[in-house]
Amino acid sequence: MIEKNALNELKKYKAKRVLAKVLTYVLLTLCAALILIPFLFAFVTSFTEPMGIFDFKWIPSPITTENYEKLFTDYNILGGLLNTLIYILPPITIGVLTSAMAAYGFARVRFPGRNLLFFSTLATVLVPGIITMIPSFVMYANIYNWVGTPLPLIVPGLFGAAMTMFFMKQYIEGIPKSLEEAAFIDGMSRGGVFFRIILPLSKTALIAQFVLSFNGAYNDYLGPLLYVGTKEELFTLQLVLQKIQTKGNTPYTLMTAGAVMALIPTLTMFIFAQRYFIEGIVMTGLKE
Amino acid sequence: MKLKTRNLKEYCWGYAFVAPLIIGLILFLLYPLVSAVVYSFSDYDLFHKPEFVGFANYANVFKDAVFWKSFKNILLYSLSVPVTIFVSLILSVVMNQDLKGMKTYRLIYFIPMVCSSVAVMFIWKWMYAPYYGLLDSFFTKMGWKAPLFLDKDHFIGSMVTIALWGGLGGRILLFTPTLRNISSSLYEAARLDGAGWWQIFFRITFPSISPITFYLFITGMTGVLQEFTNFNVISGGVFSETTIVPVWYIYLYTGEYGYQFGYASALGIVYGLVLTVFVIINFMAQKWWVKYD
Amino acid sequence: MKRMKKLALVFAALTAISSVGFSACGKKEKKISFEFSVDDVLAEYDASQYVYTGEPCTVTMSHWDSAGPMEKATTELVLEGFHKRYPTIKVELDIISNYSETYAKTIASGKLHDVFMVADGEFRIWAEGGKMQNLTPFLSTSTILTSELIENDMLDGALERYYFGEQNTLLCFPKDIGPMVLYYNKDIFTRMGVELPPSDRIMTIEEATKMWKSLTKTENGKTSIYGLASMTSEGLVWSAGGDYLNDDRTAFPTEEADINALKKAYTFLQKAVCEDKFIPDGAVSGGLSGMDMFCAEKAATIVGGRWEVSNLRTLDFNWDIAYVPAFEGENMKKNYWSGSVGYAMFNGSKNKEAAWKVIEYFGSPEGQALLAASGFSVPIYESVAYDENVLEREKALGPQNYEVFIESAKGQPAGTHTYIPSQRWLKEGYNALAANLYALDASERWSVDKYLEEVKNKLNNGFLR
Repeated sequence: MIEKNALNELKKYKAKRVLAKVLTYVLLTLCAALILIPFLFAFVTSFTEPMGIFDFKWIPSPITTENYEKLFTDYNILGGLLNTLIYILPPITIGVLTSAMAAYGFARVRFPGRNLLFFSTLATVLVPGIITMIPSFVMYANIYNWVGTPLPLIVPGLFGAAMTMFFMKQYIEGIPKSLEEAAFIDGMSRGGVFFRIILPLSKTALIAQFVLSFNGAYNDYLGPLLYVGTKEELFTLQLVLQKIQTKGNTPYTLMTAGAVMALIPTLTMFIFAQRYFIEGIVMTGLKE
Repeated sequence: MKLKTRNLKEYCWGYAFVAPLIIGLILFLLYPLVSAVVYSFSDYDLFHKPEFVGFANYANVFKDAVFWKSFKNILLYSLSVPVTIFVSLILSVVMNQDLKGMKTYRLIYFIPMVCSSVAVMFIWKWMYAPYYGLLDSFFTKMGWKAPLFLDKDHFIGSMVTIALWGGLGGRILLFTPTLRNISSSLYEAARLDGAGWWQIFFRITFPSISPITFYLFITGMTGVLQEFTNFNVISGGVFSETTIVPVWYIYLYTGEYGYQFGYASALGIVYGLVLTVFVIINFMAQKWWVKYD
Repeated sequence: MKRMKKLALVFAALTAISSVGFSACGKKEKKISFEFSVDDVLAEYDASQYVYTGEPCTVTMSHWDSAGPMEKATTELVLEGFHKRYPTIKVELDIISNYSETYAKTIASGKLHDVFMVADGEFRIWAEGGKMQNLTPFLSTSTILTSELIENDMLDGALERYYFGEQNTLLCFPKDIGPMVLYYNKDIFTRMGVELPPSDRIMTIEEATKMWKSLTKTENGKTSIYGLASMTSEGLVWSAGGDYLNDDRTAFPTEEADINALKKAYTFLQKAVCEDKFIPDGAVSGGLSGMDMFCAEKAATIVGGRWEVSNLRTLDFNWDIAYVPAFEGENMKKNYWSGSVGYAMFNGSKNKEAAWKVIEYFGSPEGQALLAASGFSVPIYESVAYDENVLEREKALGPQNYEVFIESAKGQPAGTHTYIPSQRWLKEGYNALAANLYALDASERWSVDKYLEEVKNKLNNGFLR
């Protein structure tokens, strides 16, 4: 009797598990499909002829790669990509680090003026960027003399970013204090704790921030417009794509082709990062 | 005596850690911010030196009906933030299971984030277009009446949909490492105690990710409240009281409405102050729902 | 961390290699060459006019690139000619992308070029900035740009829009004029059996309305072809003898003539969109611009500028141009607005004489001849515009009715965006409120009188700032 009940329970349990699995996949696939539709739309459009967009078909006839070809011949899309990478990789890699440093300082170290400094830092991102745009430009033009170079895009990022710092602070505050305390007792300094314990534990968060910051800088348009927007050789990818539009009527096909091309670097980066997420399952060492 | 030196050492470390960030801010943000404040009290047209006018600009800001209407618009739109965070959370939790294909799903959700926003807005504009648009054709094929997605009544809803579509990826990206960080032993213990998934979620999952949720909420709101390119692109640059948002309105004063940087700065600062108050309130409210270790 | 760095490095290396690889075999800077040589053109003019007695120096010049590489090539062409005439003056050309957005900020930082480009839309506000050199003394002593030349050969109105202030000082010299014409799809006309528009006179609105109505094809409530893709109201208001603002540009007009003209213009537009339906309303055209519709053959005609030509030449159907229709009367020539671009001199320049030579050259018949030879814009001198070689080439490439461009340029004034520095009266006033005139639902639609009343309220409420 007991065995029968147990078997039934087991069956019910297994059935529940299967149901849960099925529901999971259904939900995820549904959402994924919804997410993908506009993108598919863009993808398909990029392979249609310029005039073909008015009678949209899911499989264009004829399928043409002329849009992509045009991107390479008429627009310096690869140059733009190269520039973009040069401008954003240094500040992002170093910036994430410096932000994490500041985050640790704010999260765990007690020092006078800590709260004031933290809130001031946060407050700086609350002012709409538009109004600091002009004085920033004047500053870079007259005080630093960096206009016409990509320096205003690269250098400030090296010092860290308030929002990245904020995220890391939240994350670090979630790391159990006991780990650090154990290290202190063993005689490690604050610096050591940061580099040997906190950073490794925050790997996934750091990578996430890296990817996000990369994405943000990658899509930035107004900044590069102001500082390198006047010299075509220094254009970033977004600026090159923007040029496609300023020719009277909007060439949807070219633009979607450009957008698809612009996707590739970040997507590749995300694929790499993802693998790291999965593999880097954090061993908190808390198996006490 | 020993205590004092230890404290001093602590202080030094503290300052050392935050130094790069603070120095960076001083070097690159101090001058623009101070200038912006100075401009807000003056009449500055870019060509002549700013002329002091006291609080005149601020007085005009409070009388500016269009500005406050744009504020209302963006507030409605900002409802997309909690909604998006909620949906991302659900999806992240669902994908946290060790099933096949989760990596691919995550990748898919991330794609919208990676597209350049200008291109994205054009695509959506095309999709929402009446008669020629994709959605319109879809609705007609299904036999439903296609609403005018971009008219007064539907505009905010349409924009929120776009925000939802594009916002999931980034948030899932940040929820994932945090979810993984929750020790599995906690879950096992809970399950052994017979807790249902509901309880597991509220007692274990949610508190552990509350710091990140807080971060996402703050950054989401401040980000959304400063959006403007997408509104600009989707309305084709045409002004309308339905589609105007604060930052766009401020932008107009730096170009199309003549170069009125004084007034623009005043608008920006008032707006910034409102955002700051909002953030401070939220920080104080943290103690009710955010759990740190 | 190490692994991530490795990955990043690999990634960066891969990208670098592939981009170098691609660019090596891919894009070559398209060298645009013209079918004539600079010397041929120069040979037609008297070399002795070009005298410069100053020190050899370098003049910096800024230019935009809104029309792409062709614009750059054209400018360099003119500079080639310039250099042959003035070997001791070197010109450093700075092509600035996104000119309108970024140049104002350059002005703010005080680092202007000796010669800088000014579009007529920005003219007023940049002029108020006080960095432009007064060109009148230079012009009055110029031996190339004689008053005779300007009065007799220069197209009317070309110079007018660059005067500023109470003393009417000349602050810019025009480079070209961009007139607006009516582009029409010949094939659609033939198919629908409608007579082509006349090429020798301006059609009246009455005639045009009939034409547009017969071109519109509607089946089952859905229109497949519209008569006219889009048209703004300037030509209608002006040809009807009115204007959008009062004379000193401080308020909504008070003169009856102005108000009647406004009524006439907007009544026509409202009827065209809502009743006769030969112009699509904004909601219907959705994301499509008028030009998109015309190119897709969804509209038979459209009002457009000279710059559309190079794009239209790539299309499959036959097209040509005609004058933009207008209300009959003494103001008929003001059938639309025209764009223009000019050059100004920085009043803080250290090389004013040389800078003037550059401006003078671009504005001289020879400079204009070089500009026109590239088929790019309408030159400001009638003799140059009607030059045989130019005409022949242009007609061969299309449109046939090339003269329409030149004649249109003669009458069309500067657009409403040049009235006052701030565009707010247009954006939030006339334009934003116009949506109510064309509401799909007839009960929500405003009458023209109501519309004008509302615009008046908006404008007169401290709105013109």
